[in-house]
Amino acid sequence: MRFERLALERFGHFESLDLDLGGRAGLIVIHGPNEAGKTTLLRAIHGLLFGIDERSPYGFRFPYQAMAIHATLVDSAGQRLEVVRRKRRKDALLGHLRSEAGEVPLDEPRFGRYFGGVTPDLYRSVFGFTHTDLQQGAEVLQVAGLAELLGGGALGGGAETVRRVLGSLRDEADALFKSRGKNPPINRHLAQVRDTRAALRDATFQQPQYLALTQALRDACHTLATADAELADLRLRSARLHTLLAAFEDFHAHQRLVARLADPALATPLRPADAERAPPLIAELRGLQQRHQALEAELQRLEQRAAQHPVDHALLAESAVIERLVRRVETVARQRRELPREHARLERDHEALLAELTRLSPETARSNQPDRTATANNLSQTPADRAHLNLSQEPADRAQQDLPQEPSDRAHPSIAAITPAELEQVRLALSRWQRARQELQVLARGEADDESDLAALSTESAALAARIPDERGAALLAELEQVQAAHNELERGELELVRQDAELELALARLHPRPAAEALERLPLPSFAAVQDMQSRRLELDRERRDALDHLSQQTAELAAAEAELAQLADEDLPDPAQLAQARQRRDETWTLVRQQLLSKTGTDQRELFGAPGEAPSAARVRVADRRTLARGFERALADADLLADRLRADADRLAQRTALTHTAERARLALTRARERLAALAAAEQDWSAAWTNLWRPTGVPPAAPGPMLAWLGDAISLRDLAANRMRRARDLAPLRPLVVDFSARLRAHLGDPGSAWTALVGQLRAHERSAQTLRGRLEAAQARSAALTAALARTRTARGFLERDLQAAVADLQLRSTALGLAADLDPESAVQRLEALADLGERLAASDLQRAACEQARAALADFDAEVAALLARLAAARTTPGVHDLALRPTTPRDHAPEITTTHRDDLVPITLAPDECPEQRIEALSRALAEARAAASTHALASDEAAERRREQARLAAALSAARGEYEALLARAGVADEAALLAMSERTLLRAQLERSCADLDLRLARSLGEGQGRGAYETELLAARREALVSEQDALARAISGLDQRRLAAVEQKGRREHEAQQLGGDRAARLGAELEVIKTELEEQIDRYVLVHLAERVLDRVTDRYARENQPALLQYTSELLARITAGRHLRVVVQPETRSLAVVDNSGQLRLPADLSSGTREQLFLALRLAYILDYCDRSEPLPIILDDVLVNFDDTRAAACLAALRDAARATQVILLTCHRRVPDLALSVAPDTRILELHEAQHPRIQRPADA
Amino acid sequence: MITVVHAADLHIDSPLRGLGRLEGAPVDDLRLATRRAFVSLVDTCLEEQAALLVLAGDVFDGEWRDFNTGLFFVRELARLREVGTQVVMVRGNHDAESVLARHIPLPEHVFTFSVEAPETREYPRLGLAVHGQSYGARSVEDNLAEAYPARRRDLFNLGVLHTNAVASAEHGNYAPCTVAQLVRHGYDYWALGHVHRRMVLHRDPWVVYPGNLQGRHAHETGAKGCTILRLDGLRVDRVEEREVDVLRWAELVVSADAAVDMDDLLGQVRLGMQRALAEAGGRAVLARITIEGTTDLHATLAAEPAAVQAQVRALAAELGELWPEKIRFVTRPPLGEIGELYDLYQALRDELRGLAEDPAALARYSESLAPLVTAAAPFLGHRPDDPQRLIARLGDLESLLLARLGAAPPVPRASSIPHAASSTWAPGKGEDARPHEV
Repeated sequence: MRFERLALERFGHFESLDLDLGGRAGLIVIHGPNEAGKTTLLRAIHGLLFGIDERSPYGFRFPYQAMAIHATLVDSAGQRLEVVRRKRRKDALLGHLRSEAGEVPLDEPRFGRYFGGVTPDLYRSVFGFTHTDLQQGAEVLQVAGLAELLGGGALGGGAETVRRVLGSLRDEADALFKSRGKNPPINRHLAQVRDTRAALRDATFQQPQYLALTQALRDACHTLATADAELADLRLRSARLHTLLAAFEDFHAHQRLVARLADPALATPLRPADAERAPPLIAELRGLQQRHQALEAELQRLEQRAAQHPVDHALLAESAVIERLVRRVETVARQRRELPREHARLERDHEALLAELTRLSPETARSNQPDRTATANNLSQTPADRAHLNLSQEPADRAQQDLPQEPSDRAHPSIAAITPAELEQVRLALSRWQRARQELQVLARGEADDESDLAALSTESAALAARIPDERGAALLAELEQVQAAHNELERGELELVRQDAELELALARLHPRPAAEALERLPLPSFAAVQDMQSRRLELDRERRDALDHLSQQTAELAAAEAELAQLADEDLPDPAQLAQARQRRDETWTLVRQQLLSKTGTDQRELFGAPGEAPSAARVRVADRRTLARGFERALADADLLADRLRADADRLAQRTALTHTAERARLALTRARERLAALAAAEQDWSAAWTNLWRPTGVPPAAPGPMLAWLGDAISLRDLAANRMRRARDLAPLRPLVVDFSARLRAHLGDPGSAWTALVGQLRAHERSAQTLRGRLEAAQARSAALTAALARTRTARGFLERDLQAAVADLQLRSTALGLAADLDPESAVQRLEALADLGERLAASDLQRAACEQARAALADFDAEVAALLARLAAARTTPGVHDLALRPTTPRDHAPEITTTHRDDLVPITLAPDECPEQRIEALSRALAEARAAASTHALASDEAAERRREQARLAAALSAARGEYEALLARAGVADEAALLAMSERTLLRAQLERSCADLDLRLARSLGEGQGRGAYETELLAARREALVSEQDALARAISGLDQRRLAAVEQKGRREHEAQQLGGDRAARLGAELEVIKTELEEQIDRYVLVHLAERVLDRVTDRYARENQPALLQYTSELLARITAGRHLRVVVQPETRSLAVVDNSGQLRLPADLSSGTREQLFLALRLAYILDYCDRSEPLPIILDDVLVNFDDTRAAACLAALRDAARATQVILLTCHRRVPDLALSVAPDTRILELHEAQHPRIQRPADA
Repeated sequence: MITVVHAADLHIDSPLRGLGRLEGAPVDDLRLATRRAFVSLVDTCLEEQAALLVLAGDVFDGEWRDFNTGLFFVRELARLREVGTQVVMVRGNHDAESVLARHIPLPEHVFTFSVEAPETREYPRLGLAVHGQSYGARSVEDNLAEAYPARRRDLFNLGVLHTNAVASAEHGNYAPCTVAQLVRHGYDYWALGHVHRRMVLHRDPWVVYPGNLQGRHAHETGAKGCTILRLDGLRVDRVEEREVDVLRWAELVVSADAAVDMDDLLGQVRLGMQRALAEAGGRAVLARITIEGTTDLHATLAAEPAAVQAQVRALAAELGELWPEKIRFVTRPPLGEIGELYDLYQALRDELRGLAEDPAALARYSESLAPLVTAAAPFLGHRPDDPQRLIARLGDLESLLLARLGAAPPVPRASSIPHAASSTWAPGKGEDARPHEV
């Protein structure tokens, strides 16, 4: 890759700098004074290739955003790269890559491909460096390792690989383990192993721990048992104390009571029960006496009250009758008012009905008249008369008079004969008659319609039958499908044939040479394989021919080259063996002289010995001379001989070369001859092929062209043949179809009578005809079916009409019969008869209703008379009762014997109500008065009864009191006798004493019981009592406190023991856990991982060391190309002062061999030479790199500072040579450098970089 | 019909070995696998209403000193007392050195055979005579079986012995005896322990190793459990095996010979894992996966094993109850695949070959491992720089180096520069190249 143009915009102090670096390959020297911007230029090139530094120092004049570096580069493939570099984070590089193939955009990765593995740092240290870099490198040279210096030159392209592998192995090993690290996996796992081991130790439950645990458990159990026993004792004592304390008070109270009961003053003859009875008995006796007196007074008061209220017993005895009559009073009064009016109205209605009946049926009405009149008369009496009559007459008479009237229906039997059933039958007959008549009418209408329809249908059928065509059309239609298919096939086939004809014609026209179309089928075409075979043979021949020609031209070229070289060698001066012989002779002679001299101790003439070279020394003239001089002379002769021998050797080489060249030329000539022979053989083969080719095509009569086109032609011809055959087949298939279609068309035309129409129209017409004929036939069939149906219906109608007429006549006869039977005129038309009958029936019903009402009226009259009779009877009974004595006050007599006799009273009362009716008085009024008197009598009776009941009760109570009083008195007397006292007061005192003693005894017994409960019985109690008698309460309490404290302490001890036991038991139950097992497994896991990592580390580490050592040794043992380059360059730069660069295995470094053969380490060299060595190494590396990779331009900034003129010139010459491989740009501020460059390389381009302020480029005149 | 359950080599609470942390794996099943297997054994006894449980040694792991383990054992055995199952056991070599086996008080229904001399325990109600002897020391070189009591008449004779009767190299050669000798002894059933693989050495009389209860490392693969013996009077009716393990170990060896690419290879691994899962009958599976063979994938596998391992683990996670314990690659590159560094490869091989024969040279290399050795040796039980171990790893070392060098991308060539004719191009390998400093 070379720069053609480099332009800086606003970079460093350059506002704009444009350098043309194109043109022929050669050294470019850019000269400029200090601060002209040479280093800026160098850094700009770095920036262009690898990007401008983040903190570039070249933004001091213009802002970063404005910086831009433009360049045009050309790569080794001749492609042109246009690149713009800006200082940006994104899209810093823009450009495109242009070649003959086109143009593509150039981005960072694509641009980066040019640098391969060259990083910015590597570029800076190898390809583009300053004098400072050179100096530093030269210093490093003294300490750097061999591999570093050689960079794997011995390994060729693999050096980078080895370096990379070494690096990766080292990285991997470091990542696995660091001797003082913490994080690498091995270090980490080691720590984990340590930790896990510790954890495992902690978690392991070992034998001593197990023994300790079981022992602790046993101890805890023992402690617990002891504490439990002790606690039981203490609790026993505590319970005893508790009992003693509880019984203490009771015990001493008991003792006191026993002492008190022993007092004799408390002894009495009375029993405690008697003592208790005495005071209440005395009080009871007094109370009874008082009560008896009070009852006596009460009884007297009650007797007085009963005497004040007398009772009317007769009236009370009739109370039920009176109450019943009172209930009827209101109804009777109303009936007495309304009955005559109702009777009159009914009679009037009856008359009206009879009149109606007469109108309807006069005979019936007449027969009823007299009875009706009598009844009406009977009813026309006044109520008062009737009442009077009823009351004064005997019931039997009344029954005779009030006989109910004859039922009214008996008076008109014809009406009653028309029962609803008969009437219903008459109605039924009527409705039958009416229905029959209606049906008859309908039937008559339907028959007429049917007849007219039938006539119309016959006419239509005839018309249709006339219009229907014959059957020929249908036959044609059946045939049509098949013929239609044939027709379509025919049309399609004909079209296809036409198309195939056209195709065939076209293909034939295209086929060149063109065979006859007719003969195509029979054309004997060669097989495809044969033609292909011929073609491949032809291709083979062509290829061989090309090869042969190539070979020929190559051999010709080789021969020419060899001959040219031979000619060149021939021109050169070849050595002369005679000269060599002469020189050897002279050496031998000199040697003989020397020997003689040495042996004879005589010297040789020095002057003769050192005569002009080439002149033979004369032995005779040799004189004795100084040995040293002789020796020098000998040496000189020897040197001459050697020189000549050397030259001879070189010349021999050249001779050998010439011989080799002659051989080469011979070989080339031989090969040339063979190539020509091969060509001739090929020509014969080609002729054979041509003949075969022509023979192949001869039968077809087609003049053959080249195999390629003929192959295509053959393909076409074969397909054409197939096409033609296909067409013929098709035509054959179609031939029989046409007559069929033509015949059918003729018949169709004849049928349709349309000779001119086309096929489609004909088919259409046929189908239309057939369709209409089909329709007509359908219609005719429908009409005939309908006509048949109508005829049948007509026949049915007529039959039905006959039946109906018969029905009608029967109905009329029946109706007439029925109306006559009901007494109607026989000639009445059926409807009027029914109306009349219905009116009669209605009248009958009304008459029956009227009779019912009249009967009810009669019943009411009878009830009225009954009432009056009952009143009269009541009054008579009452009157009788007044005249006999009553027993009203019987209930007041005392039931118990009394001091005074019972009082029997007989009352006759004048204030009672009268019991006879006044002549103008209504019975109802009398009944109401009686009712009032009855209420008063009842109130008086109830008061009397109450007083007598109460008096009886009091008397019974008085009797009971008297009995109790006597019993109490008896008891009192007995008590006094038992106590042996005379009066009430003494009895009471004695009773009191007795009671006190009884109470004391009860208390004593209670205490005794409680003591027995708390202390028990028997010996235990004895012990308790003894202790209680002896003990003091305070002593007992204090002992109890002490015991409580002891128990509490013991309880705590026991609790602790329980806890201890529980804990140990829990621990024992927890045993068998798996924590240690888990940790053991974990440890195993970590160890496994650790071992894996250690294995890997050992492997990688050893691999790195082995590779490093082997590579190093290999590099040393295989003299690398790099060293060769370096040696050559160093020898050249130092003008032969230092000859070679060699590897120094002991120090694993480089060493230099100078022209004196001495080996010198870099540290032994002058700084200038060291720089030169380093420069040589770099250039060697670059040359080596350019051999393998895309060349990159070299930029050197004043690297020749420490070089003297000779070495600088030599270095420039080396750079000039390097510039053939890649572009070399040398920046300098020294004037001598461009001059020197021009002197060693006249084609050097010198560019001037001017003043810093406004730098611009000036082309030198000589460039 | 009487049921006797025969188990051996419980090694309760000994951890599963060689197992790193497995993400998502059932931690309890992994860490307490031996315990769970024992619980399962006791459950089996209860289910089968076994009359006798015979434990033929190595109940505990020798080094393990956590009494919790012993108490767990006792607690579980107590469950059998409730149903009347008797237990007889002998102490094996591990028990002999175990403090637990000596000091844990066992319930009264458990009978341990004496260390001093062989003895017989009769169960007349069951019609059984059980003969046995415990180990008094870890290493018992005598043939214990010789001194076992003679057969008892009218009883079913069952001998319990912890022995290496098959001269297995994997196990210590303790109480050595031969199958023929045992057969001759006249017992009806020999309940053996010590060899961790299930083996029926003889039928009628039966000589049976039930194997251990739970596989504990990658070499104890397959189903593990106990043997159930059904007696019909004095006759063996049938002998069954019962799996009681909670985890399975499986060893998958996948050949990469035919794999065309990584997907293909992973597909084969997946198939193998599915097979292992199917065989485990619903148990979690710990699989050691070895990929071997000659393959083009060698460079990738050797250079970046971690990535492929991650893929395999992801596959396993997808399948469910399977966790790769280790994923190893024992592959070789196809011949002639070596690139431009051929000479260097040769030099490397020569160097490694020389190291294998020259411990002094190896020691020079391993000097720099000193910090690691100092830090890690106390925890490992061996030295990471042990020459024998290192020599054993030289093959891996060569593979690693060749793979890294071979798999490394070449330096950029002039031809890798972009070309305008192709508007896009994939990033080349050259972009990763390290800077070359001089």
